[in-house]
Amino acid sequence: MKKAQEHKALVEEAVSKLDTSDSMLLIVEAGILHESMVYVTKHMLARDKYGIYVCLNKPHDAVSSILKRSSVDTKRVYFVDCVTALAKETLTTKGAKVIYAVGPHDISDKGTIPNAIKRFIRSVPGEKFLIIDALRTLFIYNEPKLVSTFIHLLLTLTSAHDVKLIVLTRKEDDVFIGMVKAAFDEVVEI
Amino acid sequence: MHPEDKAEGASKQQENVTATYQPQYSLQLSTEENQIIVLVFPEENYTERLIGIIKELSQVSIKICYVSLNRPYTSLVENLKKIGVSTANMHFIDGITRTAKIPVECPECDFVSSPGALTELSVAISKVMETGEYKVILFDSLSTLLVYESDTTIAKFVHFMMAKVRVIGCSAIFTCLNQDAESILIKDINMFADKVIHVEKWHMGK
Repeated sequence: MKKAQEHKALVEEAVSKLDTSDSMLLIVEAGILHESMVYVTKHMLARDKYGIYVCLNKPHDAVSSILKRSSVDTKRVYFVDCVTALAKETLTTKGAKVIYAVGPHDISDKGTIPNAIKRFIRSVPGEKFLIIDALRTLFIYNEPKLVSTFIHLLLTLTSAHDVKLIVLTRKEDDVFIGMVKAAFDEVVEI
Repeated sequence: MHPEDKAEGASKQQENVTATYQPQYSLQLSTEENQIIVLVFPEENYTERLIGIIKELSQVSIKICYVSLNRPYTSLVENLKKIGVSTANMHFIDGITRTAKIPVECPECDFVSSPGALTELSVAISKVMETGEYKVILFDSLSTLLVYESDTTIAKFVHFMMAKVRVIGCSAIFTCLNQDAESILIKDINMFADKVIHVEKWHMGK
């Protein structure tokens, strides 16, 4: 319990840096990646922002359940689901709050992930934040150069629209982290 | 290790399973928080501990799909029966027998050509899951997959399987050995699963 509270405090301290910065790479143990995601989302929503959550590890249903179980109000969260389509051929659109991408591999300039993010950035009102969980998953599915290009595209996009960007990833992935970390305003390892 | 030796070794190891083994833990797979778990087993008594979990699962009246990449179907069923575990609610996907011989087909088991035949495995598991009858998929084991394929290939395969499990709404248990717990694969899979449990830390009642 104490450990969880310490972890929460560390994540909140890290994310509060986004009050003065625009982008952050948050590096945590694989086992606490989803707890970290909850704390980040909660923290950003408390700042009256709208969230765009790119689900790369679990379908948006599972992510949404995790958030709800942690008492996070998901009314202001929009999802880009990059997992469900891996397992299901026919997808029914769930209102305007979820866009299904074809998979974590579809990150090229014209891919379904960048397109979905662009759509939400343009259509969701108010101040926004964008969460990517997790960078590591992108490296599983894509060549490092493509991931790097995608990250730069996100940084350009978020900076142009005044959107805060938080990219989570797991520890012990130093080679890949090293390829992209210079692009972020803040890199925090917990 | 040659698959035949592996199959025979596993079979011999299985014979050492004691009928008195009583697991004293609950996986509580039905909860959303524990829909997909990875169990990390110590190398010693792997079979004994796994059997304990199967026994526990078989006591709840749910249908189980057992994906075995370590033990051939026939010896597995024989040993489960020996310790009083009914296999009536189980369907098996055997990835090892066909590496050694042509199996006798049976409705309770699908035989896949090898543990590394990931497409065949995906098709077989998906087919079973899509019937909607099986509530738990037991995948034995990720460590065996590591012998046959690269971390990245297995990570994609497991990510797909886990997505399928969530979309269909069943539960899954993936097993691996302690020696692989620090591998890139298990760290990656930790991001996709709901929980990674080190079995050695559980109380093992006998």
